[in-house]
Amino acid sequence: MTDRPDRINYIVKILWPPHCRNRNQKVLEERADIVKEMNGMRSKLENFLKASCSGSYKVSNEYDMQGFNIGLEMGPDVYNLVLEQATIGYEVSREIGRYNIFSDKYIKHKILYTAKGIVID
Amino acid sequence: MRKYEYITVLGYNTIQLPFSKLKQYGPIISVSSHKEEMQHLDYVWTRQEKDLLWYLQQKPSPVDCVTTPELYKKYVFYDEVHSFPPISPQFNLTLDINTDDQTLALLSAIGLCDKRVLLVGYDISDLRILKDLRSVIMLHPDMKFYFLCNPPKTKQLDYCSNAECILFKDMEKLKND
Repeated sequence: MTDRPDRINYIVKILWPPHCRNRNQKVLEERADIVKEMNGMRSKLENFLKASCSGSYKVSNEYDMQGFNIGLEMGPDVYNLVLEQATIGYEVSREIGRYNIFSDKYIKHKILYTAKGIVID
Repeated sequence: MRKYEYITVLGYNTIQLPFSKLKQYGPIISVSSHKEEMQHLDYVWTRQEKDLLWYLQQKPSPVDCVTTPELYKKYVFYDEVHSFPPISPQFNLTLDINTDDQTLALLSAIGLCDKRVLLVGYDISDLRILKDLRSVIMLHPDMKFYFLCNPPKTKQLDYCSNAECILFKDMEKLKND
């Protein structure tokens, strides 16, 4: 992951609902209900970010078979996004990207849920 | 992030030069012992959790901290906490738990800068620190290192072609370099 857009320090992937994942284009063309659900989830996330983020954020327009990326400026917003997944009804991928000032790249880290909070591996 | 052309590494020694003046020579990265002048620091290298938290709690703006991978893992969601740049094993430079904070601050500075490093208040009385400093200088021949001190000039870096000892009273000339 490279080419940091302005002020985006973290990249988090939001996973589609389980039954929407790994669907190829042909299936999606035939199943408008699934596409509607995916778009609805994206809108829901966008509304949640609008209401809860104190820093800037960007929802990617690119979809893949697992989910879509969200770029966030501030760490507490990322923490909140990870914490609220059960409440709002989405699933965050276990891998997050954090911008590294030395390498000018997003470094991937695995999220760990511990008794003391959310850390990385 | 675009790399800085110039950066200042602040070591353990106290200096008489006001930090505000030192800022004219580029951003400052310091070891964690200069808390009283924190408002002039751009980056701090620290391996102590209590120091990290102290710098993060400063108002109005916390100081960016470069720290160990262990602390970084814990504080990854703090925007001002950065991990130490990955460093491959290099000839004549051994990095381990005993590596001095000044050396690690210097390596962090090199990760942020691509042209000129000023070493200010840099304590080279310890032989290992001096050896590490020489190794770092020699491993970066494309960069220029200026060691600032009071008279007399040190001769310890004389055989490093890309290093020069400058007296504080002559440092104005660095502005024209």
